[in-house]
Amino acid sequence: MVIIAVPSNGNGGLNEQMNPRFGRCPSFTFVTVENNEIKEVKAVPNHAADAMGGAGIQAAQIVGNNSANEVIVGSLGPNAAQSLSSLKLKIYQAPNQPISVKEVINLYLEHKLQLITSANVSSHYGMGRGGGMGGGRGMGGGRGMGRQNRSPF
Amino acid sequence: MKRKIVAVISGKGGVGKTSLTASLSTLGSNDSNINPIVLDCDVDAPNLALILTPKRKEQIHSEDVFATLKANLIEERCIQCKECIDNHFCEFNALRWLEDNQIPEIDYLACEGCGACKVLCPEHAFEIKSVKSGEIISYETIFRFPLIYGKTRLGSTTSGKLVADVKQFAQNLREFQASNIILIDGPPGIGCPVISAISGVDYVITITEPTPSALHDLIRTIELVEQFNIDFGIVINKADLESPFQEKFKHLIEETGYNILGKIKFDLSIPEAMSYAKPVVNYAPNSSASISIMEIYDRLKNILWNHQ
Amino acid sequence: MAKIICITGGKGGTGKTLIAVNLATLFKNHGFNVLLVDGDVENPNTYLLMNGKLENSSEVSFFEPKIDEHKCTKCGLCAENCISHALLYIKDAIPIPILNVCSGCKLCYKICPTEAIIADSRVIGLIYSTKVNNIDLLIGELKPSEARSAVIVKALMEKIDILLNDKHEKYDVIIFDTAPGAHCDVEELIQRADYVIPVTEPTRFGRLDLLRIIELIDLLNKEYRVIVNRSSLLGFRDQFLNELNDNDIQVLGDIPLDEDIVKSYCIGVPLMDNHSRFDTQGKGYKSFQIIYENLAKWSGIKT
Repeated sequence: MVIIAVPSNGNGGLNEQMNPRFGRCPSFTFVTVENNEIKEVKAVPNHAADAMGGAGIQAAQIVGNNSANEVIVGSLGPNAAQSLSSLKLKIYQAPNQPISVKEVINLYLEHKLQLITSANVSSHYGMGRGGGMGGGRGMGGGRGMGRQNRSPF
Repeated sequence: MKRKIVAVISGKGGVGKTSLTASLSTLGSNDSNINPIVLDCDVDAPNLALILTPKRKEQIHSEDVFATLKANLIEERCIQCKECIDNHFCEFNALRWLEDNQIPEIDYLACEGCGACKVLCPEHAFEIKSVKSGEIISYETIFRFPLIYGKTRLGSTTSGKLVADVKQFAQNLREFQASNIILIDGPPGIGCPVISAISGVDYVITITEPTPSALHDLIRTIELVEQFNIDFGIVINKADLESPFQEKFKHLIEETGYNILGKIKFDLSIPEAMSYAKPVVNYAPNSSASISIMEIYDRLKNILWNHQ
Repeated sequence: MAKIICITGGKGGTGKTLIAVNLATLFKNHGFNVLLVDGDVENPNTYLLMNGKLENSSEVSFFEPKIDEHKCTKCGLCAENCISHALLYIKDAIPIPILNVCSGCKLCYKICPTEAIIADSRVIGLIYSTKVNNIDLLIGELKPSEARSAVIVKALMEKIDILLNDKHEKYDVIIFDTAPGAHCDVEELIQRADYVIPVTEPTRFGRLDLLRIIELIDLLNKEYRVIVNRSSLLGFRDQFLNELNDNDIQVLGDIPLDEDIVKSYCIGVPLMDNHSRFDTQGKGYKSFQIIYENLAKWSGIKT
């Protein structure tokens, strides 16, 4: 039996969207899996969401206090990364796209999520991992500032 | 293209971080498949806004950040027991006994807001309050991409935190999803704000010049970047500086085998461009400095997106 | 009483260290006992400009909580009261210190009911005290990947206090060289100084950062006069000096672009050193002499 923590939107639950930001997500959804099947779902509000500092550490505390063994994340701050790895939790990388808790758990059950090892957790933490689609906005050059007076000021 | 985060740092100040960042960002904005967002994380002395000016002044968004904690004495609760001083509550020596009034005084600048006095005082005569630590300013530049910069409030002691806040702010920007490069103009040094600026980035550009000081600072910067396991490249500014140190510098750089992203020769177009408040690649696109920066830009793109 | 002069400037690379080293040299040339303090602890460079060595070091340590697992009752009191959340506590488990957010306040150590927290420490930097060309040099150096530069600056200040209280040490002049920026490390040094010299250059960046550092100096209620370095750059000297004058910003002097300065900087021999063999009629040399005269007058440090 494993308990997987997923940062989620709103009040959490399988049908909520997953939240990509670990420390500042509004809630955590804890999914108990046994024999590759969902056994139990529990949602807990993240009181660290609006914390001034140390949100990542406090969120890790919530995850730990709810006996999670594994966690699925979008992005991870450095302190959260350190906390989760010192709690010896397995960290999985969610795909970089809007996804519901249920969908991401299904990917987990299908073994389609990438496991972040302690060796690469440092290169994974930080802001906004993953790629945008890079749809060119097709802007031309930024010109047209008008001639300014040459001046040091 | 996968979004990449690149920080330009230097160790030594004044070697050209801001000029290089400004030019790289406008090269990016002219590139049809690149969507940059630029962050000025030199929150003690943010300068990038002088070159990357706002498209419309009325659209400048500014937000106060209250991330600094400071202790405050609730005088009516203090029973003048002096325990705070006698038992050395404060490790930062921010508590001093005022003999005249027989109460403790808090040195605002020295206070770290750790809350030790609050917890330890038997009369609960201290409280911890959050105060303004700085502001985050953001706008669309005349080059169409967003610029976000932080500016610390003087005496607030939280540069590193504000750097993290600026990075966080960028993530919540509407333009963030479509962006594929986040360019960070970093602070000088190797301390807290620099660590904060480079944490979580994909690539670091460290800029230097052929002088003993700059080399010394470069080595310390590399030591830091390597501890964080981040890929990096070196840009040598004023590469042709006439100096007796050149030979030694060349040897050291070549021996190490570090990746040299490019060399920029001394070129008056750079200060000239600055005096017109323009990135040099826009002001003098055919100057030797601009050509070098364009090469650096191409190499950077190659490293970020082709080496995978 | 030693007079303390603080060289600072907001913007990086304006010539703070160059000026600090040459002013120290000039005071020494005039027979004063000089202590030069390198307070740019993230990147101390003074000794490089004088061919000095880093020697005679002492360690600067920083508090690190260690948990005695036998004594810890897993009550969680330490974590509950740690405002920086530097102790990760899961119920019925031993708290885990998250060291990079620890402020070093020692509250956990002080309040643990079973004394299960050991006040350990780690070395985060060094202070070197050396002597080059008859100038005493005190250098603070932060270890790469450590964040708490302010601790090193504080240790430097304590060292200076000890030196000043020693009856055998008689300094006439103490010169501080600060880091760029306007953060707490710079603030601490300005706070201690009698005279503050912000160094700037005639560019937009130079001007903006100068105004910011002046704001800080004013906040700390200190007297200051500006040095404009590289003043001949692009011919902006007069315009820049006029603007400073219009804003009631007093100027101690300006230093034009000068090849000898670059050379002295690169070979690690101060331009103003008696044995430097630089042209004493050079632009840079002369401007330093003028600045020294003005500084001696302003600070009242005279032979």
